Amino acid sequence: MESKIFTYINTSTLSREDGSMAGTNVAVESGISVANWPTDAQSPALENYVALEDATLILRLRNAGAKLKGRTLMGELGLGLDRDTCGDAINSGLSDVVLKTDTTGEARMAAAISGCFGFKPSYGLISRFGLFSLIPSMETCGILSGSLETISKTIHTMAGFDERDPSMDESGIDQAMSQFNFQEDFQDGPLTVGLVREWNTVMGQSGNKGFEQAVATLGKAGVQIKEVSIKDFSLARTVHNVIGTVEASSSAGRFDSVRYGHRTSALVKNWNEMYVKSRGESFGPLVKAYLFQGGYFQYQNYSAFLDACRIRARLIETFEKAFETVDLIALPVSGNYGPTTEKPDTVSDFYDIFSLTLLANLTGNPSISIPGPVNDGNTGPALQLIGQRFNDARLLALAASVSDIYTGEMHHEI
Amino acid sequence: MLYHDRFNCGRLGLADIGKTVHLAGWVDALRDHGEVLFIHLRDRSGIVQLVFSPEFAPEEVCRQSTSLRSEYCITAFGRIVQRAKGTENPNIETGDIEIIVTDMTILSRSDTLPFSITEKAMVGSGNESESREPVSEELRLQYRYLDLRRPGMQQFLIKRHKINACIREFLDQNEFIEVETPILTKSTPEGARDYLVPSRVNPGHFYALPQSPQLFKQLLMVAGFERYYQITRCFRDEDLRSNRQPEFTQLDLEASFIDEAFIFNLIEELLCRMFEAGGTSLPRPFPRMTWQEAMDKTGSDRPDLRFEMHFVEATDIFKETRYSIFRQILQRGGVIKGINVKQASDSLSKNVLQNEYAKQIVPGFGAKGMTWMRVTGDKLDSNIVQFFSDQEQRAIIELFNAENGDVILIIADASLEVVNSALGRLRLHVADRLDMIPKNRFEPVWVTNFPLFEATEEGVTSSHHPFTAPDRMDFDPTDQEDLLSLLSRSYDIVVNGEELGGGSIRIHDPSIQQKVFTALGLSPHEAEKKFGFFLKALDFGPPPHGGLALGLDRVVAMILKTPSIREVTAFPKNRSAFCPMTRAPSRVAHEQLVELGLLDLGKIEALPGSDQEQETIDYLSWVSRIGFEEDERSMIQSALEDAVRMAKEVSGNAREYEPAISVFRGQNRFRKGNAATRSSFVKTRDLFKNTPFVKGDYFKVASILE
Repeated sequence: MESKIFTYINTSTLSREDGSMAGTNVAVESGISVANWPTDAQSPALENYVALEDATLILRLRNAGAKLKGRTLMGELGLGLDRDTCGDAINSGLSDVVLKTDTTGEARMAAAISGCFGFKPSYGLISRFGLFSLIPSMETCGILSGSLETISKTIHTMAGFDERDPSMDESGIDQAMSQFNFQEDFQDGPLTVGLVREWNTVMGQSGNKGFEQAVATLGKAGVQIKEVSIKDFSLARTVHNVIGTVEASSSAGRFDSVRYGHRTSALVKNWNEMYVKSRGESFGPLVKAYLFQGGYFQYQNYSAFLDACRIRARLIETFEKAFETVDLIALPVSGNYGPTTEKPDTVSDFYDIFSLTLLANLTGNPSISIPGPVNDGNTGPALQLIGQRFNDARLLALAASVSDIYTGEMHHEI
Repeated sequence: MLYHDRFNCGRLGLADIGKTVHLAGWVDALRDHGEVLFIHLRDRSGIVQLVFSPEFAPEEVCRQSTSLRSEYCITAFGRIVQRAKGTENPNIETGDIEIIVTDMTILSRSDTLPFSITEKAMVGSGNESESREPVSEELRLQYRYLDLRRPGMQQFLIKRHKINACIREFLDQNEFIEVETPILTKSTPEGARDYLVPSRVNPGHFYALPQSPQLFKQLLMVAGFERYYQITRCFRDEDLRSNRQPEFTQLDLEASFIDEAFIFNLIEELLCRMFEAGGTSLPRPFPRMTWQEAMDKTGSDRPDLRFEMHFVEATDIFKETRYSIFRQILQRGGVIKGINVKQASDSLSKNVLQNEYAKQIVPGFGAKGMTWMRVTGDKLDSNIVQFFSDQEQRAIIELFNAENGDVILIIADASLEVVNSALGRLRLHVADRLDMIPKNRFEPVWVTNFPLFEATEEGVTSSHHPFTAPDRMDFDPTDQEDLLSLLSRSYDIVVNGEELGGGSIRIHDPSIQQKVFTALGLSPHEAEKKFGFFLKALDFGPPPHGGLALGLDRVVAMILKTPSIREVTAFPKNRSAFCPMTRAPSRVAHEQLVELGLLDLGKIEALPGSDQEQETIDYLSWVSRIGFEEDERSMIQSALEDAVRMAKEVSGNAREYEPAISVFRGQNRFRKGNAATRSSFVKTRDLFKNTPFVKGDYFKVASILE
């Protein structure tokens, strides 16, 4: 069992017993560096790679006494959930927390599938030093756990300025940390949850009864429901796709088969051929198609990339405006397709799966998936809540209240 | 100002004392002694000291002299006097005299120099021992006209001129005629890439710059000139190498009714005269080696004969060996050869032999390994000597003529080529490392009778060019084995391991020429298309002829002992085939391309529809350096179609917004302090932990070029 969930199991039992994370078992997917652990992000591009040092966030967990359990499987280089086992690590009780990179919604989707909480923190709150995903501007360390309190504790431990990550937002961090430090009352007055008017226009979805019911339940419990308009909502997946592929094409440049990773065994005439062959053999079909799209935008249509970034700017602005009138924005985690670990065949399939989670990655907002409330037959039972940037502690607190409403509701029905 | 009575600075001497002279040149160096100013005036002939003193020069001249700076161009009148005892300067030719200036005019001023030009320190300035930072070659090339002002550089070009003059004089005496051949011509078969010149008058058509005047000189023989030569520029668009220029100068010559002996005689005499111009005499006659002999003895077709260390063929003594590595190689038809490094056991320790040579250096030469044996007393000493029988050990000592203190290095491989090539490079490496190569010695050798053809995947190709005469005419152009056994009537002149030139006796019989083309896989039609004009000429009574070309830049660089041919070239390109001074090659105006019809060219050639799309994939695969299998093509193709669609979706949207590259604009952060520090992973070598291939202190990659 263990060996099916973990590709590597930490046999060292050394951990501090006095820290805030003491006694917490933490599993880590293979795209996050842990010193002396195999760290191949499930890709031949990192074949046999053993991390030389801890990611900053790992170091902080270690110092706080967390017990590092082992490696879970992940989609190649963080793209999608093919063969992913992080949910199993929670469900089996083998770990209390799983760390999983979230660039398109992977951590939240995995949580939705396995029925635990999945949290994606604000971009720039937790150091990305030592993370291996393909899309730096959307990369965050997601957390899966059965307990919101544990998530909160884990985030609090990992967050904070790190000079080895140049994309950290110092003033944002200050704000977020003070929320964690002074557990103020996050809500006075009634909670207002925003519904994105355009949400079901994505993929021409025709309503989602489970989600509508979940919202209705909130209304009954006294939560104010308010419609907000996010004009570029239907464009978001395209924007994510364009920007994501360009960043991937660029950041995959480091996989050169020289310093690490798979080197072709074919006879090559020169180093260019060595690169072409080695890299051609290193990437799976989804990643490869993704990188070719990025190559197209990078080398043949760069203006499309800039245009996508302009739309991203407008999305960020619209989001900020929306949060002037609502506390949270609610969305399903998955659309009509339901959450799935099935292997997407094409980039387009991949985006079909993550079309509703990728928004928070584009805008950098914290987002959480709450298991249970969206019950629509076989489709995804999880509700997604998005909070304001660097209000991570507040989002977690509000998520607890929302979750309570549902557990209460369910008790009621029983 | 008139210059008709001008004297040369460097030619003045004690005999001229008392004369009043008119000089012109550049301020090489200045020394200000308060009232009196000394300057070194330099012209092409050399340097002489000028003295500005209020005692002799009018006040106006003295005042002007204070504004002089390095490299001002001036003219001066003055009287030659003998220097006071003890103030002579032995560093310059004219050090016994100086000029008391009575008049001076500044002809032009110089900006601050990018680097110092003067090579001679003024006596007493105390700068003599000051070691000067070497000026970067890039800067020298950018200001080449200043670089060439330096007397050393001028001497290189002046000597080159003298060598050229000596060539012309000698060939003229031997009744060679200098004839110029075209620069705008048709692609010739030297095998390197051509530089192409688009024709405006014939749109879509190109001239090629000559890689050599090969066909023209042969046509001059058909034309009956009997003896031709030319000092000419040749052009080859080759990959970058340190001692190579895209254009280079060749002494090209050809003669009729001659044989190899004529060429050997002529060129030996010519080279001796050329080397004498540089103060070196070459021993005559030059030794000769066949290509086979050179390969067998040194593993190289450019043998360096300044030292011995010839190969010893040792295959036979290991026929019955128990040593499994040798036995396996011999079973596969391999060979075992070695060299005896005389008296080297002090310099080549076991550690060096095993860990450096056997494990790293020799594998880098393409062989799988190397066997070494040190001779101690009359015994062999090695890590594997116990595998050899006493008889084998005695045979080794005898065959290699080994004595106490020698080191025997042996390479065995299934392929003779691998053994020769690796042992040849090892021979040079060891000789260089042990300083066995005498300096200032020149050892010429003729290497003759190269194979006419080399095997390729498709058949055979010419080793030189297809006009080289074979050693026999009765070959079967369809029999590959027969073709590969043919030798050519070719000859290379090699000095100190460097090929200075080469040539051959040519084919003059059209039927033999046709047979060679057939052997090369050229149909009569293709041969006609490529060389029709030349083949036609062979139908009109061509004389037997042959010739040779010398790479003049290399010869001159060798004679003048300069490290690079760039030192003997007035305006060379740098190692990237770029001229830092003119900044050639450069982009050209769109209109020029239109006028030359170069823009339309692509459109005509490009195929519509799917092929164009296929090109996009292949282009992206190349620029992203990501290969793909044919069965992935359609998957990538449809991903790219999606990308094109997505580009349309986002384009022109949100124009008024600045692109958000990230949610949060990244910050530049600088490491504290400004000293370079090494990652601790370098110190611990952990950096190499994850690399698939490591060699010593380097990441190992495929070679940069083929």
